[in-house]
Amino acid sequence: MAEHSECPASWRDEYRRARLLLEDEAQRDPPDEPFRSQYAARNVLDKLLAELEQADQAGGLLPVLRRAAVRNLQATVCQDVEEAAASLELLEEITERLNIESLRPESVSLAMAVQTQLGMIWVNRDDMEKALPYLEAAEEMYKQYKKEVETAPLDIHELFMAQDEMYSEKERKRRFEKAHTHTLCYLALVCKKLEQPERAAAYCLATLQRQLTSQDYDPVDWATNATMLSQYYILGQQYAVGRHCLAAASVVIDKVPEFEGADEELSHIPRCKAEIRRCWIKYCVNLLEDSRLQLEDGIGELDLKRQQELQAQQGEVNEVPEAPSLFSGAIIMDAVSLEEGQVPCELALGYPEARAVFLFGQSCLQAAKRYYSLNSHTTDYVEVVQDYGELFNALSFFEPDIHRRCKMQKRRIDMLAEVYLELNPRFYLRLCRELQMELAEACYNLMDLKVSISSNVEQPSQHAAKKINQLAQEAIRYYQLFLDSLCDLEGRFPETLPPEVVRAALVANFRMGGLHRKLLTTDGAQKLANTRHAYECYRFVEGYCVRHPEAGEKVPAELELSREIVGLLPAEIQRLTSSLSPCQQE
Amino acid sequence: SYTMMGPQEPGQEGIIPQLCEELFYRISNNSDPDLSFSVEVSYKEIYCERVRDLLNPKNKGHLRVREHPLLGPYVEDLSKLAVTSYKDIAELMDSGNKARTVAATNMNETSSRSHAVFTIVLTQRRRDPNTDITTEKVSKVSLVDLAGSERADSTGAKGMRLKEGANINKSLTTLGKVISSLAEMDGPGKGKKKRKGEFVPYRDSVLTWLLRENLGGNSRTAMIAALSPADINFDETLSTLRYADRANEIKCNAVV
Repeated sequence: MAEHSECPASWRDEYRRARLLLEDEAQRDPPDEPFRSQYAARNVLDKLLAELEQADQAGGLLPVLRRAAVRNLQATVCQDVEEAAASLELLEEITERLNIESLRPESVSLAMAVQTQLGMIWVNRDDMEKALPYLEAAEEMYKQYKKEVETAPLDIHELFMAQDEMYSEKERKRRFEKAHTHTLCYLALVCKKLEQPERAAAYCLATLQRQLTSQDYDPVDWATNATMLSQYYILGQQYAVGRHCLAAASVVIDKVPEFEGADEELSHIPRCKAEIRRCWIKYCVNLLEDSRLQLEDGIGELDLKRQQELQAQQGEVNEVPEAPSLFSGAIIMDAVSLEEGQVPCELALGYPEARAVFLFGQSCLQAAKRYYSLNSHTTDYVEVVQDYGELFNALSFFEPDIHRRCKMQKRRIDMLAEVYLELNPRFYLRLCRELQMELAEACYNLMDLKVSISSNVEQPSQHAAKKINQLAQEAIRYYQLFLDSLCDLEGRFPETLPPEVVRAALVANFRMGGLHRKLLTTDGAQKLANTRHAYECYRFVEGYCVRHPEAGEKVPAELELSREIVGLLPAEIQRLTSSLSPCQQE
Repeated sequence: SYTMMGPQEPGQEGIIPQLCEELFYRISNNSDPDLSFSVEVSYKEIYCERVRDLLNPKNKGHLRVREHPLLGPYVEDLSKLAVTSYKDIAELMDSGNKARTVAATNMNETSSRSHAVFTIVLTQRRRDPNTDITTEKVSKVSLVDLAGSERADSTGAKGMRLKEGANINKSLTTLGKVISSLAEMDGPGKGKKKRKGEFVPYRDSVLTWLLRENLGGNSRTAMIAALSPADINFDETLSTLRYADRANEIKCNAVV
């Protein structure tokens, strides 16, 4: 690094004064004099620049850099006082010269800063396409410098410091790395806005990783960010990465010591931990759901042939793929691996694997419920219960024994019903509707299983038939509750349903139709009544889709079937009616 | 504030005074002996995610917000005062507003003004003369004064001025915003169930929590956006319009 001539005291003072105004006093500007400190700083910088220009016309890098540094700061001021155009001009003036010299220890920080500022101006103007190249340039400068130079570069402020005021190597490194971390963060923003989420996520991961390595982070913030990011990966079915983020979040938050006491700040920690647990639960639910999708056949049952195929494939793969170590080098790596080891990240191919995921999810649930109690976090509590139900539902798909499957569906029904009764629909309308539909579906599933059991038996018992009917009635009841919830205050069903409930309402009617027809009875009049109810339900689906064709697109299979059945049922109704004795007929 | 409260001059009353006048007019004109009414108000301020009781500002601490399965979201220990006329309400709002100003001075640019929620609860009791049973109908009106929308730009770009030169220790608030928007993206939706966009309301604001019942399903919500025709206010006007546009799209997002 070139030795540089001692910076004259007056310049140091003026630069320092400008910084003080911008960093410190600006916070205290009164609301009716908003940019007072910035304007003052601008005056100081103008004066400084004039002095610099007068002083050294001989050239050489240092004077150029000093002048550029002042211009850079002036550009910052322009940004603050919302004169973006002026800022742009200043920066474009110095950028060319700086870019040539960019990989020198004296200049790289400034060069990077200028590129980043230019990028930010365009971000603020909402032009991401223009912003991207600048930020990429800053990123590239960092990479190149690190490749070629061992020592940390000078920090910008050191251009205006006396020899003995300058930073240590360690401090220079810290500032340099931090500047790059900021660049990555802004790149994430721009990529996201340019609809490149994968790239944005990668930048976010890099930023998180760097925060860990530099040990410069707030644990609660970091853990929350890592948890949210894991959600992106989970929804994108990249379970390994998602798991890694969640594991890291868990480890980071667990390291924060918990104090007893009612300190408001510290209450963020239990909340953060609970959120991580909930995200783990969602991880498990999603993993099981995707596992199921992979193995499902046309009617929603486990496709044994496909299962065999996939299991054979898995057996062939000899090498275990490397687990991602996105946070490698960080002190917490071992702890993270340990955490990760508790739950698989591959799609489950059979019951044992599914069970492992289920058990982990279940343990997180217990922990989550400790924080989210029904009486103070109602919505969260209910959603946790819904997830628990979903875990049972997903696990039952893999369970080979049909009686155990029944037990799982029953558990689901019981827990959902229990919480449903607690809720006041006035405040929790959305949740009530969700629960109604889930309960209906669960009863339907259980009923289906019972039907399956009794169809395999020589003599289906009367008890079994009664049970099947009960479940069918329950499902009908819940579907009806849902449909009733859509009525207005006078009890009228709306002509046009709001878009977010259309599909559900149509599915509810469709299912109810099927259920009415499935009800077992030896009573002819009852059978007729059931068939009539069924007919009404199917007709509703058909009719609504005629009046609202776009609704039909949401339920194509159900619509087609409904049309068919509407065509067939009248004949059946006629037949049933005529087979009744005259006094039974209406 | 002009729209909501209006100045004190007659003929220029804002929405709240007009609403209250109408309300008490109807109450006082009720001649049905089986009907009785009561009106209660509460006034809370939300500042930096903390809730203060503006009708009891001496309560220095902030109040806890909870959700109860039957009672819905509520603020613990919030004062609820009975009122019998618009004058009562006006006086309470006035003293409440004074309590607000004290809280909101000396801010640096990263914090915004506070939100304030004035709630009127109207209870109508009807006695059935035959059975002597009294039934109650309760209705609630929440009047929300939202803090300035400058911070709420939908692009997230505003308020993120880079100050590289001046302050390298700025925390990475941008990171949270980006990750948040990544997490909100919908899943591929291959399965029968639509994947929920957001798993957990990680940073659900207190305001959203409290207004949940207003924003979803069982109520009517109207938003008034204050705009300025002056060109110096262009940015703020644009920002407000974007905010209102987004608010317009809020749905009751039941996933069934």
